[in-house]
Amino acid sequence: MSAPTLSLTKGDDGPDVGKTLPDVPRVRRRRSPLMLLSVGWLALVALLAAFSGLLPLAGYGVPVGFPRSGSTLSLDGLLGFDHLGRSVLSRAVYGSRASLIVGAISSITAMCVGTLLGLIAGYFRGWVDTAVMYFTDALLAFPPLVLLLALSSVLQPSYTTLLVGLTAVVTPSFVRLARANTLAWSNREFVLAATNMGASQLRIAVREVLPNILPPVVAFLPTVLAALIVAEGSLSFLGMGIPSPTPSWGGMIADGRTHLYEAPQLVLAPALIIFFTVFALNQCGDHFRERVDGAVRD
Amino acid sequence: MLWFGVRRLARGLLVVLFVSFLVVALLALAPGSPATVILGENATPEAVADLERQLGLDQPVWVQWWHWIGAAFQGDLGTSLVNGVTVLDAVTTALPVTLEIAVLALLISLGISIPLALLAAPRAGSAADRGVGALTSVLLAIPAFVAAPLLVYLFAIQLRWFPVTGWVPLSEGIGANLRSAFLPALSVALIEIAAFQRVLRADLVTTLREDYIDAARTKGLSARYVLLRHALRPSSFSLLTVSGMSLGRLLGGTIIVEFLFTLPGLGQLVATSVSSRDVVTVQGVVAFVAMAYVLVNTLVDIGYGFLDPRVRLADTR
Amino acid sequence: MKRLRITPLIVAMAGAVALSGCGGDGGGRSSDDPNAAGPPQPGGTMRIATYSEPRMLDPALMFNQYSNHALFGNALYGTLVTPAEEEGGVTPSLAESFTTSDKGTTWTLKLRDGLKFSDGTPLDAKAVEYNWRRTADPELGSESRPAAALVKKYEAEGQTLTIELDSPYTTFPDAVMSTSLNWIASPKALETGDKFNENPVGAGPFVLEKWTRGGEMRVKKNPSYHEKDRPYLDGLVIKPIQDEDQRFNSVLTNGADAAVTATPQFLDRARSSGLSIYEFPTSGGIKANFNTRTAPFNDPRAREAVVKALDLNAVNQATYAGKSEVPHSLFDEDSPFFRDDLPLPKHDKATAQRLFDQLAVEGKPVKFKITSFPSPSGLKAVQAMQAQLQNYRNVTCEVEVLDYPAALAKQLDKTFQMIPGGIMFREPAFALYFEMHSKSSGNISGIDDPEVDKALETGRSSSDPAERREAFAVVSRKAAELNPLLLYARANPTVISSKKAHGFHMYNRGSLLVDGLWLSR
Repeated sequence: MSAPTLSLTKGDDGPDVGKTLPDVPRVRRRRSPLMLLSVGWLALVALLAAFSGLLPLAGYGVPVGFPRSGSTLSLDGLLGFDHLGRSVLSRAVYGSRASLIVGAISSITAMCVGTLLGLIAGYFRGWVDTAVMYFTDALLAFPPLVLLLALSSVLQPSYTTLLVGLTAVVTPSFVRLARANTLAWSNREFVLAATNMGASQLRIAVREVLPNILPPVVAFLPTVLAALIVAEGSLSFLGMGIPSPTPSWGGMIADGRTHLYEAPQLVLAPALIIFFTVFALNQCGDHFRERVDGAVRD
Repeated sequence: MLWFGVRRLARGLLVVLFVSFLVVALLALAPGSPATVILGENATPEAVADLERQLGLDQPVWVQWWHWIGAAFQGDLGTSLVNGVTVLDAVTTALPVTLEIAVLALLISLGISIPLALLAAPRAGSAADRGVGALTSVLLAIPAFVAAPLLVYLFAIQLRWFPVTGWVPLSEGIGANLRSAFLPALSVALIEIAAFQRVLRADLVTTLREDYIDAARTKGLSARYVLLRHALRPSSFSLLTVSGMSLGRLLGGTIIVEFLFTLPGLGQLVATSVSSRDVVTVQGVVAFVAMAYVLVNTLVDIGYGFLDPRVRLADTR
Repeated sequence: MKRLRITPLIVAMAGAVALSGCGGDGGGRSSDDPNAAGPPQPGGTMRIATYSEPRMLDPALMFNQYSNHALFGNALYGTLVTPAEEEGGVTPSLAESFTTSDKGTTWTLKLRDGLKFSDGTPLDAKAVEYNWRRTADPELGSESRPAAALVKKYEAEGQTLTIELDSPYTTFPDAVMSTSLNWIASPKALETGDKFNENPVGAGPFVLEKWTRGGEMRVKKNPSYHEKDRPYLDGLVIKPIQDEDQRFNSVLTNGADAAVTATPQFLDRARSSGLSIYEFPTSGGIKANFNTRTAPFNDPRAREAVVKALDLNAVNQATYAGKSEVPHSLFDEDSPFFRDDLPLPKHDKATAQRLFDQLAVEGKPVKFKITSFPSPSGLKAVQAMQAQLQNYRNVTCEVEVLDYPAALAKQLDKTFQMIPGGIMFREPAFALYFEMHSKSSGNISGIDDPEVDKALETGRSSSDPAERREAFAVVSRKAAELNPLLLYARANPTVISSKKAHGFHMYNRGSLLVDGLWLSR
């Protein structure tokens, strides 16, 4: 049996009784190329989303090429044309707004609201905690896609519906996370010390506890955003996403699915874009979490 | 211990009540009613209004909800407004399908994620670990609505290993049943594989740093033995939690694969019911899924509390 | 897509042709004709994939159309009559004859002797009366109510039902065949209310064996079917598969023997994969109705502008990969009512823009929403229209996607502006009256034109073929002038099947007959 990999004591394999604390090599996330690529991709997508109007591309709703044709040498035709002859590149770029911006607003709103509620619940306990957790658990128990479908039926598919629905679906997760961290931090010595010194509850909650629960909560954000991008895609897939002609990545997949045989690039292009974005977001999420965990342990 | 479980379930029940209220409220707000769907295109506004009155849909939302609760507590979940099937029948017919997909997905996920975690954790930081990490990142980014058509194209159309659509019930042969369940289960399992692997790997890495692991190694036990016997078990808590949540989530989250593969499960049932405003059936299904979610979480919490007394006590502070 | 003129008459999709076992259902174009395969072999179970399943098996609550429940109805309840070769004629099925002696006011339906439902009760004139009366009840909500409501008086005696209509209707049997009136269920079973779904007793070629909602329906041969050597099959498995691709894929991978579809872009793939195709061309097609009661489409110029603005070939490209047929006239070219001098408005960008500008100047700019259902092809067509309209000035078009009940509600309270739908027929009297007569409950657009009304009434009541042709020519002309709707693709229901499946015949609205289906071994 060669190269035993379960070697947690430095050096060799044999009994090493004389050692004190084993020196465990921390999994160091170095500036890996993967991380750089991820950040780069996300920056690119964010910029394109922000400045999509200024780019020299044909409008996303205007047919400019032959339907379902492949890549041509022009900028508009770089990714080919969709079933209506619209530029896939233009739609992908503009579609980042629906996916990213809606996802970002929803997740950030959910984070703020959720953190606040979780902080209050975890810090003050008592009936406030019970009430907040009651509503949170109820929302968590409601199957998310059903909730989104029902909301789409009520409010009719639109940006607003998506924002409301997605925020509602992810807020409970943030509440739980914030509350769990608040509970952990509330019992720390410095908080008790502050209480003893006569500081008001509110001051303690905001000055002492909040800054410490923010890192893990913020670290959760990329993962949530990734999940929201997927949720929007699922909704579009079922026909209840953002109405045309406004593009969204999920909507592009839904539209292109019926042409998978003749023009697979219509599905592959947005699928790969979703894929890279979600991948990149998860890499960043991992990275932040490693940093945070490391900070906590120290 | 028992008291803990009972308290949790009672609270879960209250949660379900609130969820069912949300359902009634949402569907009441949506344009079009079951009366519209039942009477169809030739309906007159008077006939629609009449039928709505008959079905009790003109009453305020909380009254409708209250009636439903009353009946539900007596075991009567009602009858579909739109097709006359009792909700209990509809749910009990659809449940085994979704349950099998969910369980199969869970088994596939565990079957792949545990070995991958066992592979990666002891080699934390190495190329192998990072490779597996990249693989899981990839899997995390493939939602069911992308995976399913691709899997169908590859395995059902090109290779003909699995059927394109359709559900074969267990009563008609376990082989055919598993074949019809495999692609749908795999489509939803991909993301779970990644999630499970990461959770287990993280826990394993933490556990492997503990003193007693070192002690075991110094006793001369092989790496593999230590890994499986001493490290795996204590690291399973998070995996247990996540599996439970996953099962609960899958029970309510198979709408897309059920639509694509034409599986007569809860997802299809609820999607059809929402789009025909069949409030009674939607309530029944959502309440059921919520109950199942609460139950699974309670069991996981009990299991956790059983193993770790600090958790049980934390609730009473 | 120009088709061969196979027969100048209305085609026969009928028991008679199938009985003789020879192929060639005149007028239906079949490449790799699944019907030209020699004498039918008995036995076997055919699996057919279709669009959707009904909520209830009550025949009055099912729609006798290819994209709805025709398959289920024909299997469980059979057919009273099916169309015959000559105009207005019928081929006997459960009924022996369906005739009028006073040019369409009184009709006599004579059922075969000794007919029994599968529960042993007799299928007699009283049973037909029972079914038709309940279909006319507004509380029931039957889609066939407009047809049933035409009957003023019933006289049921033995196997003969004599009815009196409230006005002469020379092609009344067509109204029966286009609706669920063609399906008669056992009154005794219907009285059991909701339990009927578990025991849907009819006199059709098959009886229910097992129904898994959301899954599939299994039916088995009815031993007491009135035709001794039919149905050929031992059983049928009906699989509702909503997703078009998956429905086609299931035939491709032998998960089903046949699939009902109207998606023309699959036809090429079907042919190249060695599958058989049966097509049933019809007049009318996929349409979008304008609401003439409210702005902007209360002004006929707005309607004309939108119709002329759209290049239907491009819509065809976008929605059906160019494989569908763009309608140039209300009637299909093989129809006896077709007139090539009465086309639908042609694509005319200049006129369209001029009208949009004109309306804007008058302070009535064309701004509207197209309501769409979530179905992929419906949505694509609507998207294509919107994309095209963006190239014009002074017109704004938004797409609104609603699910079925919401869209239906909008249609019912007439708050829509433009909404898709379909109209398909071979014999025009019933369908066009329903669509365009000012007093019809199905007049979604709300057009109210006395010349149209009169023409439709003549088309219904006249027994003189020349007079009828003239009447429908008027309807064609006015349809092109008034533009109550936009017709953008022909609806040609099709069956794609494996080479082993044969005997496909459809009637009226693509209703697939099942007693003639057979599998070769």
